[in-house]
Amino acid sequence: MFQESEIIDLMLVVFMMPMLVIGIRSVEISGKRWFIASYWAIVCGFVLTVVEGYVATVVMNDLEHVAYALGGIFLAIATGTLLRDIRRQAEVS
Amino acid sequence: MSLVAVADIVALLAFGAAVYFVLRMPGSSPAVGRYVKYTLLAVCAVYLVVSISNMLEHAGITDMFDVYEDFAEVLFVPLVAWALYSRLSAQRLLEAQRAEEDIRREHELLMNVLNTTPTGVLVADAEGTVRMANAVAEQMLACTLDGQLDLGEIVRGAPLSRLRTRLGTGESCLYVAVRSSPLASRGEGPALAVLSLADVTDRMRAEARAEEYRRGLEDAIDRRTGELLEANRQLEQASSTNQQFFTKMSHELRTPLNAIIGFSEIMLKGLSGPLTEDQSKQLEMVKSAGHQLLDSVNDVLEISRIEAGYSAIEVTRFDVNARMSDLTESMGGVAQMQGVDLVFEHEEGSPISTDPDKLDQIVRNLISNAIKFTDPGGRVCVSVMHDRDVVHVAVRDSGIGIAEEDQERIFHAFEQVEHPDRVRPVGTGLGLLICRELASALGCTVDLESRPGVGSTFTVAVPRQAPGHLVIL
Repeated sequence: MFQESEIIDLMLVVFMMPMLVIGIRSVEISGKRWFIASYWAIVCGFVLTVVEGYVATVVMNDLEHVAYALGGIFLAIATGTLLRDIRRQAEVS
Repeated sequence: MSLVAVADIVALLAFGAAVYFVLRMPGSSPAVGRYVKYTLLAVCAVYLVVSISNMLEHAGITDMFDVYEDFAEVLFVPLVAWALYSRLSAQRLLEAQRAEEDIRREHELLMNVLNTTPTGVLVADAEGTVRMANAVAEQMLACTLDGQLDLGEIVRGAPLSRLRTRLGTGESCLYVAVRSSPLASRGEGPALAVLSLADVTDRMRAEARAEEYRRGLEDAIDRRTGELLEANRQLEQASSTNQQFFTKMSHELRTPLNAIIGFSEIMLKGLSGPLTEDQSKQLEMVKSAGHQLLDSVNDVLEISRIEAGYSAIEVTRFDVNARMSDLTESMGGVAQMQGVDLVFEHEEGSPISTDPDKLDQIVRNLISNAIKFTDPGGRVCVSVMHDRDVVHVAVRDSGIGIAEEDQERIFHAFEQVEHPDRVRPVGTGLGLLICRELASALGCTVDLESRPGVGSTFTVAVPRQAPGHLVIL
């Protein structure tokens, strides 16, 4: 049905959510929105991994992989944005 | 190809790209921070491994990475949390660095401003330790000898409005004016004060020069005062000598003349025996000549006394009408002897303040001249007219008159009007000069109106109140 690691992942997500929400408000970094989107896409992947054991296994499994793919795309965009801004600031200074 | 396979390939490429971008980031960049970079790298690497594992599994190659995939996924959330807080720490560090940089720049600006001022500015504590000083203050402190500037004492005595002190020795010494203002203390450590040190060396030297110059001036004034006192003493001595001369001359000249005149009169009265007609005539001539000589001596002595300044003026208040009336009456005998009718006219008026004897002398001279230059049967009129501020005393005669060109000349010494039809008048020619000098001393004026053959009018304008700047003769 489900693995222990998947439950641990979900528990970590749930318990650390308040800390992450508070921390994410204070942090200032280029591509912040893409980082957040990437995080939630991967967290969705966690949830879908657990859900696929109970309902619509095939669809949920497809969605899980799509969520990871989206998480990867968002993370690539976020890191690319951050790299671009770092270079721009370096040129300015 | 299935959706899952496509998704896995996309995820692999995306996480691979993310790893590439993170690797390209400089770890020293303040925009990211070293820990953040490696944490991000770990997150990306975790999902790169997961993607590879998924892809291999779905491609049916191997599922041996499944176990590692589960461990990797468990690491995800803690790594994200670590990345987040690493970033926050880096951010705070960056803010602190920026704040420090701002403070450093402000301090630099403040020091630049302080260094542009010609005044030395420093902050010191009650122990005398200098906490901050601009360049000028440092230069001043550098040439300060021990004991010349006790900063601790000045700080403890703050606020201090002004303290002048000398720094250094010899020609290169500085004079500084010190002011101190206490800085608000937070109750920890010794009290602080801001001290301003103004270089007043030039001013002090200028003041020293001014003081030296003042002393020189005082010495010169003392010397000059001594000379003036000596000159004054000599003048007083000369004055005394002159006074003695006039007294002696008056006595020496008048006494024999009075004797001549007196004994002539005794002999003419026959008290010393009868005289022949010739003797009487000759004695009359002696007596007349004696009177002339006495008048001349009196005139010369009077003018000498006026010019030498020995004729004091005594201002009193008197009735000018009564005074001029008495004077006219006293001259009546002389006029009668000359066969001249002497009359007095006046308007009613209030008393005046001046020297009555000097005024008498002026008017007597004018009446005497008028009688002298008026033929027998003529008329001399003395009149007093009152104006608001001035009293006019006029002596009008029906004598021979004075030509216009002579009217100024007769006021000069020894000048007389000579008429071809008349013998030369008796006298020294000093009478009118004496009149003008005395009138000037009293603040009066003497005016003359005359027409030859018709007569003359001398008018003395006498101020009712003698002016304050009277010339004291």
